[in-house]
Amino acid sequence: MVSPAVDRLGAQSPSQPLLEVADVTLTFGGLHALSGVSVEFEEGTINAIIGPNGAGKTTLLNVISGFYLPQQGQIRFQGRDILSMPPSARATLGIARTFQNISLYRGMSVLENIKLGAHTTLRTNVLAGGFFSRATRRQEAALTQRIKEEIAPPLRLNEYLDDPVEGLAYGIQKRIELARALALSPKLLLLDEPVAGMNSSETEEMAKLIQRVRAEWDVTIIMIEHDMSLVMGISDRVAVLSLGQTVCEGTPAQVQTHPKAIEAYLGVDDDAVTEVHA
Amino acid sequence: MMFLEYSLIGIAAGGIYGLLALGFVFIFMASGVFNFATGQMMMLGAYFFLAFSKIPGLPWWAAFALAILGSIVVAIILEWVVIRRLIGQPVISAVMVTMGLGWMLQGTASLIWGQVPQQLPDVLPRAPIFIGEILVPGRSVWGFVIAIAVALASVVYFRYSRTGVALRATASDQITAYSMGINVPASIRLTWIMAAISTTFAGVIAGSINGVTPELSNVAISVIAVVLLGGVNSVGGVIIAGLMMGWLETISGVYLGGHWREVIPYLAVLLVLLVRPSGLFGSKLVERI
Repeated sequence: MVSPAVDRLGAQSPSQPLLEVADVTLTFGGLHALSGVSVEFEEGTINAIIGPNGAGKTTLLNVISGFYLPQQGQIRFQGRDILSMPPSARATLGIARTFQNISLYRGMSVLENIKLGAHTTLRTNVLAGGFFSRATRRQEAALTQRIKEEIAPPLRLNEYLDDPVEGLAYGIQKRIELARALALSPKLLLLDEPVAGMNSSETEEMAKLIQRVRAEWDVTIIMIEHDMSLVMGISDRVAVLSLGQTVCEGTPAQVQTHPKAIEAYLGVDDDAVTEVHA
Repeated sequence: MMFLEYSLIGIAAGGIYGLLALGFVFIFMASGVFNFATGQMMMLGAYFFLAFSKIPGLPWWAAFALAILGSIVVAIILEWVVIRRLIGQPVISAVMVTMGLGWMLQGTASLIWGQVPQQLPDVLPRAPIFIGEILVPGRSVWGFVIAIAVALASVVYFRYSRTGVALRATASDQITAYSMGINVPASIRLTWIMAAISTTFAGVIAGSINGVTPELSNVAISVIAVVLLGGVNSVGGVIIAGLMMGWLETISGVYLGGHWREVIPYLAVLLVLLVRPSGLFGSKLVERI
């Protein structure tokens, strides 16, 4: 099967991309959730995947993080095919993600939740489990310190670290999720609708945060987002997905005026088109 | 005085329920599987101990260690070959499969070891113990002490060790745990290993008090009630519920007659569930939309 033609706009950098999605096809029963999707993500960029509901955006994110195994195609991370790796192994490589619905662990404090994100970076064996060894204690203390000094301040979470997560405001919970993903020291961060349900000032703050994360931690970002002000405001590249195919890809300015991008939205939702133009 | 004495004996018997219920709860929390083969795993552990203790020259503790190892191997095989394929299937499939596995284990045990009750080597001290003025059989006391010690150790492991944290994360949200780099299949396997250890302890304790037959498995029917009483997601709750169950069974058996010991405890569980559907100590499972 030949992959459908994709309009690639703008110059591609000659260096090897951090993540390559090559000709990925995934079907559920007879339904083509993704058909021949190819898209590349350069290191150090902020990328957005947009498209109408049901276009396959979250499915693509799940393929990248390893929850779905496509029938065809390749996912290369730093040039290495990772399709055969389970989600936990991909996390160890440095692929972190947040979820559309907040998925924090109730009954644990904010700090404990964030620490869980760094679980794989702490090395202990199962039997010792690491409750008594001194090395474990030291690792743990270093992690707590890193969270308190590096991760929590930019996310303005220091004052909540000892609070239980339940009961905290929605915007704060979203920032905790981001902090937890950052605790993994990721190279690639997948954000599934990072500002869904946020008001405009919260959205603006999240936009600054995402840019800051990219700049200070050297993290490449791929986000799914419906909020066009965020997408067009901070993305370096935007890929438009429709009916499981990439219909166009380029800079925000290029995508906004691209007929195929407009068409993808026009078929489904008039409001979205005006948003694209805005 | 009689009442106190029987109460103590009942609570001592309940230690085994608590331990068994714990094995059950760990598996349920990590993978959502109701392991109806818990009783048979316990019975098998007791038979393993019996078989290994017949090896000449092998001290009892080595036989016990081998029994634990044998149970772990069986649990890993069951989880790997059968249970893992049920992920994503309806809950009822897992129920039927674990029940079937249980009957298979029980049948295999009667093929190998027969229906005749067999005596385990005397491991627990027989000398009766006085608690104040009350006399309690030594084996019951020691059995209780060991059961509670193992139960508490696994609770501490679950609560405070890093592996335990990974387990709790898996229990609370598998998808998120997986995406954070926690090896979810390994975590689930670990719960089966923990269940193998706790059921073998329970089996050897119960077997050295009452002898071993394949019907030892049936003890675990009470365990389902214990788990429902304590709350399927409450590690500490099921231990307490186990003790309550043991007490209720013994007391109703003594004062109302042997037949009632199979009625009163379940009646009590039923009443509790009518008032508190998630058990005495279970937290409500909140459905998020």
